Amino acid sequence: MLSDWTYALQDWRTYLSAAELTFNLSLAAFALALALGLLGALARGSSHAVLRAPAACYVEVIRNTPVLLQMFVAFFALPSAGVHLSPVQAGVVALGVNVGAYLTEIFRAGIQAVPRGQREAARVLALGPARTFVHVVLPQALRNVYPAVVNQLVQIILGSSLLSAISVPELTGTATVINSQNLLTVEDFGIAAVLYLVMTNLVSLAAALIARLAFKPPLRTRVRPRTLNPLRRLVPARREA
Amino acid sequence: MNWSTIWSNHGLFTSGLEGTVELAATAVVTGTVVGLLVAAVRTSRVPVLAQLGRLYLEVFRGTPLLVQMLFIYFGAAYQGISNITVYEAALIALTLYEGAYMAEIFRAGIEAVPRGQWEASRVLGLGPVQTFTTVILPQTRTIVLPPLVGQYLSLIKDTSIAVVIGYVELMRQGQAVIDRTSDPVAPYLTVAALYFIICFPLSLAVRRMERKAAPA
Amino acid sequence: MNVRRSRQALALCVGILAVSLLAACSSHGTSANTVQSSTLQKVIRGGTLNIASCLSFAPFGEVDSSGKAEGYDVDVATAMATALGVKVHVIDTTSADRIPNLLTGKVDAVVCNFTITSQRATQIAFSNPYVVAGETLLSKKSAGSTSLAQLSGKTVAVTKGSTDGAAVQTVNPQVKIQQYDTSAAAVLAVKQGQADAMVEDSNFLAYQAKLDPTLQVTNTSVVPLEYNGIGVRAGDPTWLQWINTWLLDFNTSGKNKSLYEKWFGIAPAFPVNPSY
Repeated sequence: MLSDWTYALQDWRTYLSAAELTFNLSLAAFALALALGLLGALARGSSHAVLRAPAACYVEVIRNTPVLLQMFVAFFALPSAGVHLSPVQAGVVALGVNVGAYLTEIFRAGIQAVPRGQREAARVLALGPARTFVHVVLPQALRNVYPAVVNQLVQIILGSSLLSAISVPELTGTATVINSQNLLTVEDFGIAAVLYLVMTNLVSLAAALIARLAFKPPLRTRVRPRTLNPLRRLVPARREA
Repeated sequence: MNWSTIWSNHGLFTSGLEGTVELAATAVVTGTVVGLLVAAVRTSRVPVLAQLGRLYLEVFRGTPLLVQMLFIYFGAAYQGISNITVYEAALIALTLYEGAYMAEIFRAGIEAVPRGQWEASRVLGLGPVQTFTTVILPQTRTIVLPPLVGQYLSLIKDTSIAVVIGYVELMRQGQAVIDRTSDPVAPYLTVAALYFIICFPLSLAVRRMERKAAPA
Repeated sequence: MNVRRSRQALALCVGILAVSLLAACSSHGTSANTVQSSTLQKVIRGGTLNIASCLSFAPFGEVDSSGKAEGYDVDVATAMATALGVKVHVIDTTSADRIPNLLTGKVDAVVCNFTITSQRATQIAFSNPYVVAGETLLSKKSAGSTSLAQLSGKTVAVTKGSTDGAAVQTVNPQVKIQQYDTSAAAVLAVKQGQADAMVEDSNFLAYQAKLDPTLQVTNTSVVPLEYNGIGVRAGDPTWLQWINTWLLDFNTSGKNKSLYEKWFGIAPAFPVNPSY
């Protein structure tokens, strides 16, 4: 058994470079999703129906169709319209557009949860609508939605596994190819699973640290129940909803 | 875009829909059961079980569903556990994966029920299982139902992932139509429309439940 | 009282888990196959032959508009079942699934363009060849004539779990390889211009080029000829010798040749048995 693991681990360089690609494209997709989410939330909350309707359409269509289908459309169907995206580009676009719809709803809820009094106070202080949004509403909205937003980054990392179907050489696809050669399924997918766990936990940890440092007063998410391992108290609670 | 070929292949789309609905319906039931069990285990006072529950949640929420499906399907093959069909592998993976998310939803609901309810039930002589099913669980309904149905919605969409291990459902049949017609746009649009038709009512229902649950 | 009962329940659960784990471990591994326990007897007695074919790999295997399996490999499987006097039951599989399907006993044989390689033979057994292929290159006609050597830095689509990826790497390591789950997806990638070319079985690609006039296929094989056989579980000599005996009849009677011509439209390009 141990020899199976050492045999499978010979490909560790391939796994690590695939994990690196996974992580990089997840970050790129997350950046796109954040931009789309903010724009979408603004559009949905706007007073102009010509902005509200397309945004609502975007959110409903994306959230009611599978992300794998969206990836296939981005890679296989767009060329019929003249848009040729490489596998990685198509993956970033598909994941970004998909999570952007969820972030639209998350940001919208967060913005709505900021008390109206804040906006009224800003108007009294003669801050224009743009400055009100950027300096008063947005920071408080971000506080509200921070755990949910971090969770969406985790979902992007996990969702990138589906990009193997459009030939992106990311972690899951690489594990499948290696598995079809050495036939050590438990070891190959076990290594991939461990790498995913490491990535998602690192993201949660980094996010919790950023929350402690960047938000004033420090943002604490829900307190963990008491555990057997006292060291766990040092790790902040993570990944809500 | 050739819509007549879509219509002439409508049998394929129908059989795909059946595959999707069958897998989704079964996984909803099994996933909910697993979620309830794990939530009950996590809120019980036995530390070993609670830690095991936490481990299960960490692993199944921290790894992708596709990896779990591939692991179960190919892993069962190479370890000699015979007779796991594609359907069974997809079902087990979906159950465990969605069950993990549902367990957290149930746990949030269970923990929101005041401790006094547990104590009062014990005073009345009800055993732990009876307390859980007849006293605690019904009171979690308003908190649990909206995210739970939202999770069912995700489950229906996640059945499309089984196409990678070869399960015949809507996505796979869409690909079969593309093989025959070599135009990807119309089949993908049809598949998207079919998923939308199934999912949109559910998503409206979730929205309505959320509004009812949050009076303000 | 409650604590003791839940501790007892916990102990019972752990006990059941341990016993079932032990049972599962000890049942690992197959028993010796005598003639009586051979797959051959099981198939004849059960009246059904379970075959795995690749149904997204026209014309070896595809699905017609009512969802029924059809194709060259499906017809070979049907001929095998007829010779046994049983019904055939065709299960769809992808390239990567062929070996797992055999190892778990889900199917009795795999008839799916299965190239005979010594690496695969460490896990399963192959019959004698029934169809021969080279590996050729499919590309769009608008790309002009091209060969693997000219594709440095360009993308070539291959199928996961097949022999193509390794073959391409050997011939031209400068090529960028895209791995797809099914051959149909790889063909779609070439058609949509997402991959510059595709390497796959010569029979399959010749058929695809016939179907779609915008595609062209090269004539020369990228690698030495590949001989495809019927895959079966290892350690079952009775079943294997029956299949080989049946194949001899299938090949010499001309039935194989006529089936090939029916599905591919041309006579088989290479002789089924290698000469060297």
